[in-house]
Amino acid sequence: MGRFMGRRLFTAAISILGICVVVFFVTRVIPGDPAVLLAGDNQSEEYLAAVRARYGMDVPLLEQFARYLSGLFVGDLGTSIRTGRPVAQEIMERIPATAEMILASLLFAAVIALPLGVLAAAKKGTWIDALVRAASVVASSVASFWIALVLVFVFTYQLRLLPTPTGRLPRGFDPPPHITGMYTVDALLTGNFATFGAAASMLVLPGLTIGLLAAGFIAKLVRNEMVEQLDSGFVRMSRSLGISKARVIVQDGLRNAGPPIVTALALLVGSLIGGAVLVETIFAWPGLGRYASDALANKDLAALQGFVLCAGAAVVLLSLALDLIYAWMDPRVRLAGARS
Amino acid sequence: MTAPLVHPTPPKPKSPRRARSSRLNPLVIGGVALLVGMLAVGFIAPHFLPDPLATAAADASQPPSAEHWFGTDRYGRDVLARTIDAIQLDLTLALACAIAAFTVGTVLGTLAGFMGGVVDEIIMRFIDILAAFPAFVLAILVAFALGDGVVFAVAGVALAAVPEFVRLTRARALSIRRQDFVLASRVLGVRALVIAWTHVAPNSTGPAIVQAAFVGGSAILYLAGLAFLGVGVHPPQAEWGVMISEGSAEIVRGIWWSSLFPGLFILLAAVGFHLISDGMARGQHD
Repeated sequence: MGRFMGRRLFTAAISILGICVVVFFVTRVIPGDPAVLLAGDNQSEEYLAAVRARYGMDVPLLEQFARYLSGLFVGDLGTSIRTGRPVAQEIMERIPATAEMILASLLFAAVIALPLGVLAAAKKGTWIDALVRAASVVASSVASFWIALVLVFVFTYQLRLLPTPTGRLPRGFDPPPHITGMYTVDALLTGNFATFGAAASMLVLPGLTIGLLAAGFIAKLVRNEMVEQLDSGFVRMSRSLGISKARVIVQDGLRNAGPPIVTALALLVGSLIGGAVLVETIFAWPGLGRYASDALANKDLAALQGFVLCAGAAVVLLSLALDLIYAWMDPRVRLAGARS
Repeated sequence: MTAPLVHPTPPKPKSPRRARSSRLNPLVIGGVALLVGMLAVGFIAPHFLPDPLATAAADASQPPSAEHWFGTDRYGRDVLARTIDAIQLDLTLALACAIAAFTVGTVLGTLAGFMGGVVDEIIMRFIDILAAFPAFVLAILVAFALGDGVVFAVAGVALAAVPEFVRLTRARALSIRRQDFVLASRVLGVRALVIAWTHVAPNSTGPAIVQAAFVGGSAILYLAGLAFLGVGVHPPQAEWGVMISEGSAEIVRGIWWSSLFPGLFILLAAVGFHLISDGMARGQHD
């Protein structure tokens, strides 16, 4: 286990270093002057020089990179030109909002997609299977920012079931005491049910929007994994022993299909963070995605770099965590890792 | 009919002929028909519709009617004309993304798989790093860094799609380089790059074509998303993402038509690409 962990930690560290390299060099080496990018066209040479000096672009590229990396080691992601505050601090403040939204969306997605995927696999080749596949194709073809608007129109304008999307809490509510930073969780922990209801009513639509996108992906994945498992020798064995189909599906199918499905979640969460850039913009959700779209609109280089770095690192760290958990639970994983 | 869980005999091995013929699967035909139909409408219909850029303040934000089937937006422009006008642009850009990513990805993948050794190592390490980024996030970064423009948005979306092509092609190339016909070419003294180009590349692109169709669909979504954020295509150009963005502020006031219709067309176009991909994948795997 120690050896597997060491190898896995090493590759994760290399990946994160690689992410830093890409994030830095993509914005520096690319044709065109980053100072012009930041300052805008038609600026005087003196002004450009001042911009370069301000962002440390007046020293050789490798030295800039060394400074950037050494800054990262002490948690310095630079300063946002929009707010003048440290990017690292702003990102830390915004992580709970996005985490809450993505957790809610995974919950929605699991509730919708898991039964559908299992059902499609159990009824492989029937019209039910075809319907689930069609639904999953449609779900992966919908523009997230569009379905968000459609949901807002239906639920807040037409049915008036939910408050207008203006952030994490409706007007007149104060955030609950800070424990996790996720309003719904904090409100529950402190027993503040009115705030919980209010926060949940704001969370439903962004969570559902992202959840629908995730559901298409998860349904397809669950179906394909389950089809493979249900076709395997041990399932045939169980069935021939007279164990009911439903029981075989849960006991043999789902348990074995689980690991590859959960592993794929790391990548899925990555794409959900990408989707959050659009969805948070629509719901005025003060998370990482909104931070990125603000950075984009204001040409806030440090803020955007910080966001991209976090999104990449989140994927690497999440898949690292999942891999380590599996290796701990399942000796076959760590032995296979050691051999290859 | 439920599929039996118990196979009395193992399933027959699939013949390559069957895989080839089933490429003309109804899903693929449906997807192609959908996209070709959209393109045809995109080429012909604008001749019969109002100017997609013509504003009319008196006609602003009118609901769908006999005169304006999809209504008008807040500048009084005809939403139907704009939605139709955007077909050519959106589909062309999506195709450009898919073709660019396919070309770069399969060339790199063939090289990595066929050459092996240091070349393989360098290409794959780089690809692993790219793949760690969520696709849309990488597209945003590249489009931001390159500067604002449609070409840069396409480049960003295409780059984000490259890693999957490299992996698919490399895996195929690795198995093909050990085949007898490649060995025979080697024995005959054919140069490695020529072998890679004439034997390995054509035989390793099957799964990559499936992926290209898939990328076409996601490129529609990503490009519209970038345009929605103000990157790539800009107003007043008729583009689906731009149109949804322009309509988004009005939706809480009940004006749904200016963003609903462009979004439906995004859905249709992406479904078209995804059907092709899904249908071809079934032909190759099932």
